[in-house]
Amino acid sequence: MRRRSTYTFASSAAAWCQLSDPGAIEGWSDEDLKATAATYFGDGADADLPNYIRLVYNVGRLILRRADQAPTPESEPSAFFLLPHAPAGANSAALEDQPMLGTGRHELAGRFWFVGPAARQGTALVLDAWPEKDADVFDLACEKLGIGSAPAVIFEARTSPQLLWFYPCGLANREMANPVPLSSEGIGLKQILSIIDRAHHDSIVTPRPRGSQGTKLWKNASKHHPVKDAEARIQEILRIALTAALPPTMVVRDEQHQTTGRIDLEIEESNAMPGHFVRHALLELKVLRSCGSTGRTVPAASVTNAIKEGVSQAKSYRDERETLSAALCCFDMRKEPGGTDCFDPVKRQARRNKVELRVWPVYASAKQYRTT
Amino acid sequence: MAEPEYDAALSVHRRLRAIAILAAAEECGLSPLRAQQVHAVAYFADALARVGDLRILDGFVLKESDGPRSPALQYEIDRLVGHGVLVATSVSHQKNSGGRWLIDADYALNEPLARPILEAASEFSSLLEELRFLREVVFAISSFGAFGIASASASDAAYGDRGVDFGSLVYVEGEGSEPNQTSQVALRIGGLLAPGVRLADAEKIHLYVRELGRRLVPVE
Repeated sequence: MRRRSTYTFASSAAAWCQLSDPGAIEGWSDEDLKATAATYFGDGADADLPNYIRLVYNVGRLILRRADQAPTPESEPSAFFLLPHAPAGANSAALEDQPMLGTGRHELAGRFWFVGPAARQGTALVLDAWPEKDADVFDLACEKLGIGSAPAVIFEARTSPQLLWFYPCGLANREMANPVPLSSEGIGLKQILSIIDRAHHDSIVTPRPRGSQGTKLWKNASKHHPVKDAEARIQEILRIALTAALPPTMVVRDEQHQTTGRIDLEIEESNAMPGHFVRHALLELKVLRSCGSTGRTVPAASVTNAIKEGVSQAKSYRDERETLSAALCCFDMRKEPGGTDCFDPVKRQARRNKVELRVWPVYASAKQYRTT
Repeated sequence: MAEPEYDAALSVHRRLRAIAILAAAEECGLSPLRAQQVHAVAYFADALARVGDLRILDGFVLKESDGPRSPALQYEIDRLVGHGVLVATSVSHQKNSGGRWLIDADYALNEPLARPILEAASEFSSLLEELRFLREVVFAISSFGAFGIASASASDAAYGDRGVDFGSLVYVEGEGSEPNQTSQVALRIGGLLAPGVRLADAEKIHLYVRELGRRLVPVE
């Protein structure tokens, strides 16, 4: 039986207050708005990301909201599929509409959920019991329901710590699964850089990388001419990779403008105090080139200057925003990537300013990658 | 009273919004939408337009207990049904709270005809921004479920303003240089966070709708 809920409205007790701040709005107290912003900080921050990334981000946030609201912790797994409607093969008698899923007030456990990218409302297939064998979960999704290719997230509630398992290409492609933590505890710059290592390996290191969606970084690979906006493209790849792998409490922002300049990537998280934030890491990106997109030669001195500028930017931004850590992340697209030697002129400056230095090579061909 | 002058650009714009709203509704599992729900989402898109610096298509709307409804938008929806771009099912007629007879129906996209329109619009950067904005409005409002969408306007800062009686006009354009109350609240949320935190437009939309949701009380 499909169930539906109905809703009515209540006035906010604090809403109709005397206004002292000229910018405040009658009926909408700043305290209420701040509390809402603190509770739901990060909602919509994923708006420009691909739908399958939005799925894991928003399902994670839903799981955390449920953990806040559930009278007892959920102890059974649940699975979420990026499908707006239940598949035709689902037993309609076991389907349950949940129009206000996003509130976190509704039990998630023991169900297959069919949701959109924002996971705010959905339909559940209520299972008699969660299958004891993991293989039966895959069998149900892939064989019986025929939804093995839909991006999916499984909330594993039985382990400690509890985890999300993200299947970007569906349960039928289980080799591509990634674990996603639900808490930011223990996550620092080291873990963030290891996510970049993986993104580099999967999507950046060569023009035709394994599992890549195919972001083009080379205008003319055989001549080592990067595309003009290579840095912006790498930034987007990293933002997607970081959002998919970090806990959903952490928001990965790009292009934050401020007095001292524009931050490439920043990772922040709301803390328990309304309106306050922890800025975990700031990443300054640089692409090192030996040629421009038109083939113009880029002098070695320009590369060194770009690196020096990068260290200075990372330090300034970190100080201004009181970020916990900062790193200069270089992607070396020169004809012959030179490893960490490029940092020799700035090592002392970086150490003094506590800016981590990392460089990843970007090869123009798989052959160059293999031979190097 | 003279007929208002026909504005071809506005007419196309309204049709595009209707298509974009139903496309986003399909993505998040809300499709088909009842007429009143389409009008409510279109109202919220207008009410929040100043957040995304978009054009407001209906500068004012009559406040009714059934929720906002734009005759101009309904006219364009009817045309889209006539052209086969939208599919209308469960068609009926009903009297609204003001005693007027209205057509009601469930609306969904006819994908083969509607998708090329969205793809063509996406090639213009300003329209692409607008389509993304509308998508976020629908995603955020999907928090209320299809059945909560139309009634959510009762709690909206502008439409639900207690100082505006039923039968009066709600000025979606705002008054003077001030945006309407809905956009004011959404923009205000963005300004209340710690220094240096800059929310994207989509975040302001989502947080505003979350604040609306906080004012909802479920009856199970």
